[in-house]
Amino acid sequence: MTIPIWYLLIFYGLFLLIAGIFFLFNFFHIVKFGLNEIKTGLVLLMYAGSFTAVVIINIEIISQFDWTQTITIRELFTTIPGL
Amino acid sequence: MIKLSELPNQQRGEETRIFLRRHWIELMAMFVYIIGFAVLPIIFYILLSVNGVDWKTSFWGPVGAIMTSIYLLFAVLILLTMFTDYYLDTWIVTTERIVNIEQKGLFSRVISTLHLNQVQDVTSETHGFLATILSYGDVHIQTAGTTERFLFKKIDNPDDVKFHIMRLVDDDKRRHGDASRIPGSF
Repeated sequence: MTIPIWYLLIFYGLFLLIAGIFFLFNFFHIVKFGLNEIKTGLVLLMYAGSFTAVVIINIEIISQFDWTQTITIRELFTTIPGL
Repeated sequence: MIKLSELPNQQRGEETRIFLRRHWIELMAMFVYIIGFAVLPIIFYILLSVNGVDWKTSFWGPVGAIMTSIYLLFAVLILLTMFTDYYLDTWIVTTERIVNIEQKGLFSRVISTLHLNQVQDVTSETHGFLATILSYGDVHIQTAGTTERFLFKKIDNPDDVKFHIMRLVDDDKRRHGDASRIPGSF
């Protein structure tokens, strides 16, 4: 039985969605409850910047591989490191 | 957003005198933890590469890429959540009251208000080598109300804050009378 490797991207997409929701919760909390000053604006920029930076790094890491490949169940177990 | 000049239930003539957050050393600790966590995938990558894992041609390359990406996403989320908790924990002392705003995680927030003429005692504490060198510590405020103690945790210059609060308390008691002797009175 062969499994397309791009199935893993579905898992990643789900985690990215959850992470995006939690990022928005954090952002919302700062906007609603933060102090009305320049520092809060900088904090919001830092939030958006750091999350965006991590997503860009993720894209860079993921884009190095060919996701059109497939793998068989046998290959999956025979390529386990150390075996 | 909160404006210091327009606090909820602000009285006429009330002015903010002290605005506090926890000391910056708390931020340093957060960053050190997260950087430590972020370095772990690199260590695993090196260990597995030394043990013969071929990241480019085997299945484990894409798996490692997905796991590393998810790990980094959650590391940055944990950092942002910890920072939100730090940033939204604030203590505001005005000419009339003390407002204690405590963010507990993402979905829990406690706001307590104490009128200055209910304050019985203010105590500052500094414990530890780092706290002494960097001058940070706690300030405890003993009240006559149902909340017995307000706690300002790990703030900068707790001794100065204590004296400043005591001056404000004395000024307020001169204006409004001393409510600190009778529990629950205003």
